[in-house]
Amino acid sequence: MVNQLLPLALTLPAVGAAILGIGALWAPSLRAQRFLIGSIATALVGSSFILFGIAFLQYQTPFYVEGWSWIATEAVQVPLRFQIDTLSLWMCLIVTGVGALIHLYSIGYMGEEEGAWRYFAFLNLFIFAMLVLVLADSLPLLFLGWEGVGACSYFLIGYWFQDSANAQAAQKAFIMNRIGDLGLLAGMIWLYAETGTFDIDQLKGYIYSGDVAVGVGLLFFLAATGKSAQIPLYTWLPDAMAGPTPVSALIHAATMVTAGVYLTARMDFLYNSAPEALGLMTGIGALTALLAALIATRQYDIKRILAYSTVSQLGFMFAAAGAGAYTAAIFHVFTHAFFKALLFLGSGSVIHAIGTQDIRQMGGLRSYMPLTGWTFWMGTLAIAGLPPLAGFFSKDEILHALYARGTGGEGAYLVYWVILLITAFLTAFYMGRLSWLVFEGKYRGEAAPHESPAVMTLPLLLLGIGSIGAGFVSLSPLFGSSWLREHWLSQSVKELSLPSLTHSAETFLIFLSVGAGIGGLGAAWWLFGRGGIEAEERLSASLGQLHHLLEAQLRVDALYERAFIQPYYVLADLAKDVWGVWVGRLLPQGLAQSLERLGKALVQPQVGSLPAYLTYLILGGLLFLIWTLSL
Amino acid sequence: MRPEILYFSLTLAAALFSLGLLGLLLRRNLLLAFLCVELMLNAANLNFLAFSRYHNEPTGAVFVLFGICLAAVEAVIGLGLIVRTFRAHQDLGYTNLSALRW
Repeated sequence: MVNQLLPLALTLPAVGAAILGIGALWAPSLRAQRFLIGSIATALVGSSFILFGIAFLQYQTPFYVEGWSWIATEAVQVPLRFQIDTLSLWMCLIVTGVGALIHLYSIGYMGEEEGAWRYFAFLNLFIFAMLVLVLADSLPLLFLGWEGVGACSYFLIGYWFQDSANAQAAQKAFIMNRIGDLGLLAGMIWLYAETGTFDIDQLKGYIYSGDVAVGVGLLFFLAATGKSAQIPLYTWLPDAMAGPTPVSALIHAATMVTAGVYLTARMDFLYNSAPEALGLMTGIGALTALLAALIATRQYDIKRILAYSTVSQLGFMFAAAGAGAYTAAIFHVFTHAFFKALLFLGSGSVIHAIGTQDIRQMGGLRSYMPLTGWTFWMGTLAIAGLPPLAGFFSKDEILHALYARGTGGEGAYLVYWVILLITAFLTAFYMGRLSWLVFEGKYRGEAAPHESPAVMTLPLLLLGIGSIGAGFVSLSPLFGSSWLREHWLSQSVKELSLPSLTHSAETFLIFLSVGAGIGGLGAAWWLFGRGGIEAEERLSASLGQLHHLLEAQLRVDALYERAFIQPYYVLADLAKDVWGVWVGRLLPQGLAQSLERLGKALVQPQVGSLPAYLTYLILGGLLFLIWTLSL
Repeated sequence: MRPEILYFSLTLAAALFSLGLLGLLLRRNLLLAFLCVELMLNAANLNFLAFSRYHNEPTGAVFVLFGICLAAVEAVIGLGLIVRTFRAHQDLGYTNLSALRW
């Protein structure tokens, strides 16, 4: 029964994209039916979620859904086949579940938009591409979803493409992602050259030499840094906030950016034999987490703070994956999807109400929009890691994994653990700052704030419940067994075994991580809860240059501009000069001129007089005769 | 057929051909040039016939029939062109005919 439902669950969003997109193109009068369009899109993704939910409840063993033959040559066979195992099913639940709520929210948020049909069609297409990505049983199919996700992201970031800044943000996201995609493509081909197969199940059966595992692992990690916004390819994500806010929630918080983490977990067999790649992954993850959190403390754009928060939380996930604790990473993907979607949708609700993104123009909004305010606070507490909210469990599991690996003989992981602990403190701090400046104190803006309609607050409430409860699927090691890790994900993901910790060490870890969260929130309250916006001004003044550096996002964009984009233009100009002048002008001109000269020379004997031609004829005949005779 | 007759025939044909060639080179009159071409053609025909008889082989004789046929056709077109040229220029000299030059 389930086997027949799953192709439907996969294709429903694609059907939605097709009927909304083609239908509205074909009959422009339908475009005005925005509520209907939004409802169709939401209903389709919602049904997809329900079908995946049924599959989840009835799940016994991994199984495959056969499509048809996709690439069939003598050398390469890639069937269109989807693999439903615990990992992919779990990701599908996140994608369609959170996705459906964001669709629902979008009905309210995008209700006034002319291009709502385009928006919802791409949103549905995005869900489809993400499902293809996570369900793919071979690397080319995964790559198809991977690219589809990137393309949809491009369309949605550039939704308001009339503004060239948005179009540029979309291009930036796309190009940054393409750089990473190159890694996925190269790694895929390398694996094929080694094993002769693209099939993930078959790839699991091989034993990889260290070089191959590390090389391919690093290439795949490059792909992950692009899609999941890690150093050095993270700069697209903060700019991607140019898209509509629900897009930020769906793509840049809950689903697309988790593709890199998913890829890492899916390639567990490879990474398990590539400790060097894992070490680098944790290092990059921890560094990204710290830098993004630092930048987030000094931003004033509500969405940009959340964007850097996403980058930072993704850093946590990669740090966990790099410690070999893939399930901890996936668990954080799961909890993060709830509270980050909640925070983004909450910020969307705020932006919807007052029309600005500058937190200096906000303040005291909780009294005007209580539902948004309370749920946003819920998200803040969850991401800060306060027990028993969702973020606490997943973050604690990550810190636990790093600490265990660090004390188990790999000292570098202890350094990363300290970095992440500091980041956890900073996370609570910048989220506290955001919440206090936006929702508490006195309102500083001009526009009259109002609570959003129920279609927008209902998803906030549901996500708020998720942010509170999602952590219980995997209680931290102290409380015994973790259902998510030991009973569910362990069926499809092989983790590196971690050195076990003593009971007191675990208690100590929990106190530390909770302490970091409470400390951060406390510091935020001490400054902004009591002092409000004036405290923020005093703080930025006292930080001086550091404040400016962080507010300018460490000037990474300028660095990239100078390091890559300018040289690229110089190279392009050079090519234009050399190539353009030589190949474009001189060479063809020279060729044409010499041909013309040759023609003029050849035409000289054609004198046009019959006696001359007769002489040629006879001379030719004589030559022919001599040639024949001499043979 | 004795070889002497073959030699004689070949010599005659060579003489005819050389006459034609010389005429073609030396005379500047369309009609005479045309006649010289015919002479050379017939020299070739004579060769065919001589070898045909010598080898007792009918192919050469048949080929000559084709050659005569070709000569007749060619004469029609050639004479037609010559008549047209004469009408246009009132002259049979061809040294100055260069209207079709590039």
